Amino acid sequence: MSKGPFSIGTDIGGTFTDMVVIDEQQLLRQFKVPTTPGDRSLAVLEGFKLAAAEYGLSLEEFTKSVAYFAHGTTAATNAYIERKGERTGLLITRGFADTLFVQRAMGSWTGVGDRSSHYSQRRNPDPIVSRRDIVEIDERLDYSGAEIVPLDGEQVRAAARKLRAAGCGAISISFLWAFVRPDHEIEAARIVREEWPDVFLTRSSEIAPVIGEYERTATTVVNSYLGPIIARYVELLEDRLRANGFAGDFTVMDSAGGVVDAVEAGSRAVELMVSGPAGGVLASAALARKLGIANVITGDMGGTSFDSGLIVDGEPLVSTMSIAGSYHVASPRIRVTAIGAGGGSIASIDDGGALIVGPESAGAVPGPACYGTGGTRPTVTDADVVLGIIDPKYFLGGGIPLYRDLAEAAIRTHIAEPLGLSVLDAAAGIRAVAENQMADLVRTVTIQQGYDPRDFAFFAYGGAGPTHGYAIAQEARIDTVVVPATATVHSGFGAVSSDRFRSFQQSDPQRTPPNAHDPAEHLDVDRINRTFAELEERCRAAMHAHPALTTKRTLYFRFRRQAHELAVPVANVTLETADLSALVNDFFARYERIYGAGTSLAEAGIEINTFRIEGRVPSPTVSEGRAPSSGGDGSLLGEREVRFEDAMVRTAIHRGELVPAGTKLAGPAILEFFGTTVVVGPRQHAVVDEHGNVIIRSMQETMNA
Amino acid sequence: MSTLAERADEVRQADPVTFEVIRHRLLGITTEQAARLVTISGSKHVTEMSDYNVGLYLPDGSVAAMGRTILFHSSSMAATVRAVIEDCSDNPGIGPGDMFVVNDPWKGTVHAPDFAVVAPLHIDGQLVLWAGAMMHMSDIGGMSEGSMVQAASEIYQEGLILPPTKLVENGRVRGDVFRMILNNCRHPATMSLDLKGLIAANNAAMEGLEKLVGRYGVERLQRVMTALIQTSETRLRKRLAQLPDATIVAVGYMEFERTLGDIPEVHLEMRKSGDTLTFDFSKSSPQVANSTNCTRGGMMAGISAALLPTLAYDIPWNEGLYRPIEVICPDGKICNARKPAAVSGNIAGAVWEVENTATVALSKLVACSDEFLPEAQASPCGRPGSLGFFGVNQHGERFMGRTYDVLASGAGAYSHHDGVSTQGHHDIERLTVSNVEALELDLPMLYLRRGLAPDSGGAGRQRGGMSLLGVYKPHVVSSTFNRAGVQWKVPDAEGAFGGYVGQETSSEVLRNTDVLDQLASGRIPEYDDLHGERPDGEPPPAMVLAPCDVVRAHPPAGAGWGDPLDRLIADVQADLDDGLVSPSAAERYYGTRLDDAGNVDDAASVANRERIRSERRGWPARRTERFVAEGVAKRLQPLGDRLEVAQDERGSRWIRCTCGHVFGPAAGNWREYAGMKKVDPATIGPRLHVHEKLELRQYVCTGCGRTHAVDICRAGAPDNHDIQLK
Repeated sequence: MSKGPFSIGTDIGGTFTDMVVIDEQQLLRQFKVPTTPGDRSLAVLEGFKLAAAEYGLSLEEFTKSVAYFAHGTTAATNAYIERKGERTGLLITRGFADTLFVQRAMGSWTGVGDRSSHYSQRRNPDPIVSRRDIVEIDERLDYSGAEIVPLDGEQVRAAARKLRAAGCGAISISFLWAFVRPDHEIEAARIVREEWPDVFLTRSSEIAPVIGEYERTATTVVNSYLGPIIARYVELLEDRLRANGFAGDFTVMDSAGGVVDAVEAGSRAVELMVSGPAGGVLASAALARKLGIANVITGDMGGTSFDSGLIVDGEPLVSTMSIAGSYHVASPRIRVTAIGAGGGSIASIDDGGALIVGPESAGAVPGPACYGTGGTRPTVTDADVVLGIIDPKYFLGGGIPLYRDLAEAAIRTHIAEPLGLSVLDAAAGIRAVAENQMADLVRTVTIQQGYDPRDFAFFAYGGAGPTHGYAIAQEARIDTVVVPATATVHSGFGAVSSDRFRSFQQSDPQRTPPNAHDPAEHLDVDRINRTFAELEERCRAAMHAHPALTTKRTLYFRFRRQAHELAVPVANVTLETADLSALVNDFFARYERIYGAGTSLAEAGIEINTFRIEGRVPSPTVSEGRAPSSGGDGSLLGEREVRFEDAMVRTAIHRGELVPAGTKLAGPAILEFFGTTVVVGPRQHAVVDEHGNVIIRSMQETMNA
Repeated sequence: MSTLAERADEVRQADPVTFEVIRHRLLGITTEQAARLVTISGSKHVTEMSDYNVGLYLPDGSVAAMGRTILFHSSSMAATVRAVIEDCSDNPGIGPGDMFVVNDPWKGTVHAPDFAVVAPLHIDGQLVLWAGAMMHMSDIGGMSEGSMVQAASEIYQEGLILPPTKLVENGRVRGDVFRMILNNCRHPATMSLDLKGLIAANNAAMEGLEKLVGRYGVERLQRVMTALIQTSETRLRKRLAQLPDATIVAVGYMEFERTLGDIPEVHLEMRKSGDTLTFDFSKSSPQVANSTNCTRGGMMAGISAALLPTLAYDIPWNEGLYRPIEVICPDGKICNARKPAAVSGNIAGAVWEVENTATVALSKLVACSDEFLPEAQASPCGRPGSLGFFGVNQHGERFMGRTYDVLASGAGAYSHHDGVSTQGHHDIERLTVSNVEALELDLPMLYLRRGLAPDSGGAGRQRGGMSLLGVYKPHVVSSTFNRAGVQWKVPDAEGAFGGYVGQETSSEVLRNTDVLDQLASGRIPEYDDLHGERPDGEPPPAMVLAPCDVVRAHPPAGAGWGDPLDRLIADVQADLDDGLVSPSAAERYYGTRLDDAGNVDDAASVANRERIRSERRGWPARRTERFVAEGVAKRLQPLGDRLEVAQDERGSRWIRCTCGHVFGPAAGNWREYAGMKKVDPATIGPRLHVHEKLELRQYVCTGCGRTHAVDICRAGAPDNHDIQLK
């Protein structure tokens, strides 16, 4: 039995806290404990206890042997949703106090989906900063950074005093055009600190130096709002662990897949919003590289939602903008799109007589009907139980008994009888509707980016992903499905196995005139070099100039009058005009590859805007396999009747963990793992590789191969 | 059709899973169409204003599924498909792989900048379905850049007009037609991309539909599409049946006195009977000699934009929603103009007023039902006037600029909440406006202020939403401004049930100001603190403004709901705190009194409000009869939330105030028995101006002094009779 050193990854979800422990031989064990909403660090400690027992160590012995602890957390999101952030004051350019209330007119439709058509129910969000805590300051720059009005320092000083006296606990500073020239913000910050040395302060030119005063201000304010809370949360968790002997490194994962030292987490709190799904996408990217797969659609299906991200040519697709609650924030994140379709999604009949699934969810309480915990309305999981897909006696390895009769009753009452269907047909219907919705999302996320889903493999994870992945893929005409060995704790695994990573972005807009012979001649190459050099400097400093640090530069281009920005990689050298010409041509080629031949609009002129740099220090932690199984001879448990499409089919049932590596299983087949059930469809086959990943392919492809 | 509909209904009942799967797939296909269009076009018309639409249609053109975009376009595509069928079936013929382009406003579009491309799907030689996509083009030629020509008197001045024309033949783009279009517009490169986007959107639809047909067969797919339409129709009819039968009148006046010598109106009489709804525009003004007219396509667009979010907010949007509806309007009216009327400016003209009157009428209808009252709203906002400017920008390039701030209007108030500030025009479900930094980067301008316009939302117990105010000036170089300094005098954002009128479009110009000195001295001045010259008289259509000239643009905003004297004092205080209501407005419209610190003085306010109500109780009514209900009168139904119909023990029906005061018989017009006063616009809203041919009337309960209506009427006309229940 291993005594460490161990690396640990955690991901605190709404229902469960997942934990992955990797030992010194790179073998991996997974743990799940119920999340403790009051004090989420308690669940982490509980996980440590479980793990210690598993390795035959005392809590203290185990904790001392943990060399690296990586944490993915929804703490920032939760504090935001529950409006538990710090009261923050905002200093803003005179004339612009309403910027956050106006929200570029997007406040009443952001994040509500199709419900935006119900006008009488639309509202702007409750503001996270009160109008009376916003102080307008005389200062103004123009688009070129020229000073139109100097900063009035005395107004700043008076504002700091006023906001402190009013009971604010944090300050945000966001001035117009500060991303072009941060001097006014820096000076204002200096004055605020003079007045109020220990205040939590965010300035827009530091947290989000990008064009667009609404998004930059929102990012600044959300960061100040969440920062103090996150700092306290991380401190508490660290104290709990240190008290039990933890002496290793402690990092937190951000939404862009970056791994931040815990002490820094508070100062970048806004970047921790939606950090959960990022871990899963990163872990998928790492796995895809190992499997030699270039393009991946990820599908994380949990209890309430289905989250889908894209990996193209081995790299997760990144957004420079994201939605945090009802605000748009300019912090990079791994792009993940979600719909309300999960195991707990409720099936019902609308008043037009159509069968619909979700977005309403039974959640953890009351849960699906088959949990026997008070839920009476049918869910996707109930359908899976009725159809024979999930063995009610082997849910979470038998840890939670399920009641098939309750699932049947719920489907009968709410779906089958009103529609005049058999219970089995109704259950199959629920499944089909849910899987089609997810397949639609898969198609949308690819096609909206100009990709064809058929060029991708589908990675199915989360508790319910492996159960539905085969059908989603079939529906979207995807040939290969991969269920990662770490499917049920994939995000936690992503947190611990990811490289140390930081990204920085900066706006410096430049444009070229229409009909230029060589647009590159109209770009200021020195300014471009200077901006990249500054970003490089910031990144090196943030990564403590680690000797293994590598950086990657990206420049975003677009055609003038057009909205789509495209990322073009840039070499780490001082550029000359000829290099710029090559970059411009690269942009044209990429644009046409994505949007089609003939779509590039060179005559309109081009625009460069966002500069981005990514720094990476390779992770020392890699999992080379699952923990050895406890033995057993053969994986076949037997057969049972399972409903596929229109009929019940006798289907082989395997204990997933016992399937020998390399064995090819013909579908239909079911592989029951501890935390999830993998389904192989009728015209598919599956192979379990030596690392425990299940790779499902359609028969068609095998015949062609 | 009925047998197909019956069979379709059987399909839905017999196979609800297939029904739902296909329904999702159809919506999925429209999402793919939209994605393809947006990615290839990239125009801000599609990425920010969502001024486009996509959809799938049955062989007869009935829309089965549509995208979620500007609501105007929800009806126009189906009309376009029908025009293609009618015009092209024989010559040049409709074959596999063909696509047709249309922008003729008499063939379904709202105005000529809207280009539609529609494509038939043939299976085994049989036309089985249609797909289509349309968008607003940035320019299609004509008298002026942008092709929205205020001054046009004939459609021929408004740019290229294409009747149904074959653009793609058997899978191949017709080079001659394509080049002909490009040759007629100012930005051929952009037009080329936009057309390619529309074609690609249809190709996406064809791919998706072919897969669906392959899996389910043509007949099953058509049946499900028919069933979808049937389901929406059934649900809308069911909703209509739940509403009381009534005739509702709403009128929208338009500002063109100076050029036309008259104030034209869109006049709607809406009749709801059983499960049907009739929109009758017969009494509207004749068509006029500027571009404010609309065709039948524009009229249907306005009706759709009102209907969908008011009655069909939770019903899938398709052809079924138009089946319970009849639209009556003789040819030659301002909202059903004959060729060659100019129509390019109708979004801020007849189409706007069709939408506005239909929204008001539908709101008044649902306000007569306890169940649906929460869906009723005050007028969303008045006609926008957009302020454009052009010249050479700070980068030495020619530019034509608009801020589009005017789109971010506050919404009308509801009985249960204030109008949502900067929600945007009622027809735009999801609006985005540009950041000031994005505007200043491209345009030679500097904003001194951009934020919520105080007092812009009409006053009310629930007030209208606030719009986006801009104070800006030319920066570095001078520019030519169109229509700066205008003051509109024909308000059309009428309040609901005693709510006040929302702010109307206007802009102010101050020339040769000391703004540069004030900036140099270290302060960003408020507009009111600037010293400069106010131009006299009517502003010229275009003026060159210099960096020392300053513009303040007031956008139109949502109207209020209910008597402002009934607004909670705490809500008035909150608006004062947030700077949304000025101290003078708090006193003038809300009847509150402020203390020396500028806070609402509760006791003084209560007393002042009572004083105002008491004064109103003495206003004379046109008819002096007094009615008393016999015994206890039982409430039957609401008329808004402070008027109601009640029946007394003798069976007589009355309209009364919720204070108990009886106005008169339910079969009559309660306004004739209410206290009435022609009121000074200044008592209703700041910057509210009313043309001498119009007047504002305030109607109050002489029992309790509450305002029940503030009407915009032609001077001397009889009382509005807006709601007549059956």
